[in-house]
Amino acid sequence: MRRPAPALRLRLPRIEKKPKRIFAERWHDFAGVTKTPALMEELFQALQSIKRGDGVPEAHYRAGIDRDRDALLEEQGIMHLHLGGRDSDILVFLIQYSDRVVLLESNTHVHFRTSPAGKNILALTQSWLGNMEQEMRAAAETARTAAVEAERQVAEARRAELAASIAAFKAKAGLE
Amino acid sequence: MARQISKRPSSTGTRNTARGPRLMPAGSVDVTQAIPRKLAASAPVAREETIEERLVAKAAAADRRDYTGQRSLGDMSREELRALLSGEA
Repeated sequence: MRRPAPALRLRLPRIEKKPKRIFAERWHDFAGVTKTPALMEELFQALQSIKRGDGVPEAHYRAGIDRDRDALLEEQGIMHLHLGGRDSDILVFLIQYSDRVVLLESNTHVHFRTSPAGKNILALTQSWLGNMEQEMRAAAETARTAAVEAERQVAEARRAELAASIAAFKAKAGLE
Repeated sequence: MARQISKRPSSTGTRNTARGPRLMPAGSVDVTQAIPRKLAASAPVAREETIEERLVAKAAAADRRDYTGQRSLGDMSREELRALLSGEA
């Protein structure tokens, strides 16, 4: 039975237009992008665009982005960018989260030909991604707890202020 | 016929006849021995960490450094980025 990828991975066809950090700790350059200065420059510019919060130029997305489905994105949460033109066979596979982008590898369309799609990418990174996503969930939970506690303290302070003003009013009016 | 008298072997051949609690010089008391047996048994004892647990903790700490302590690629220069992605860094 196929296990769905955790919901933390965004399944948007494009990179969101908001600043994101970019990581690549388990990166593999199977397509040799780093050996080709022109491709390296394209990747550098795309990453700068993500950092600024401008998303990625349309030229890096697949040609049928608004027409057909991307099995890898839908099933595993892994999207890809094209380097060297929209129809090129040089792809950068990545995962998009709300606050970051994790580059996985450069390769050809090979990962669309496996069943399920992308199983060989995940074989290399699944454990590391699992740990990272667990950390992200824990951090989100901590932030939620802190926000709830802060709200509770504000409400408590407001109640105390209200009680004090009522008491002052009663004292002034000679009710007590 | 001579009567045989059995005698306990003794290093000195003399017997210490003093009975009762032994007196110890001040400051020589071993406090760990002074703890009542029941209390010592119920006292919390640190569990020993296994080697597997240590390895898992070490790997988790390394992973945490990877995805929380690393520099974003967006903050790198062209050359730094190329070096990192090509595995030279």
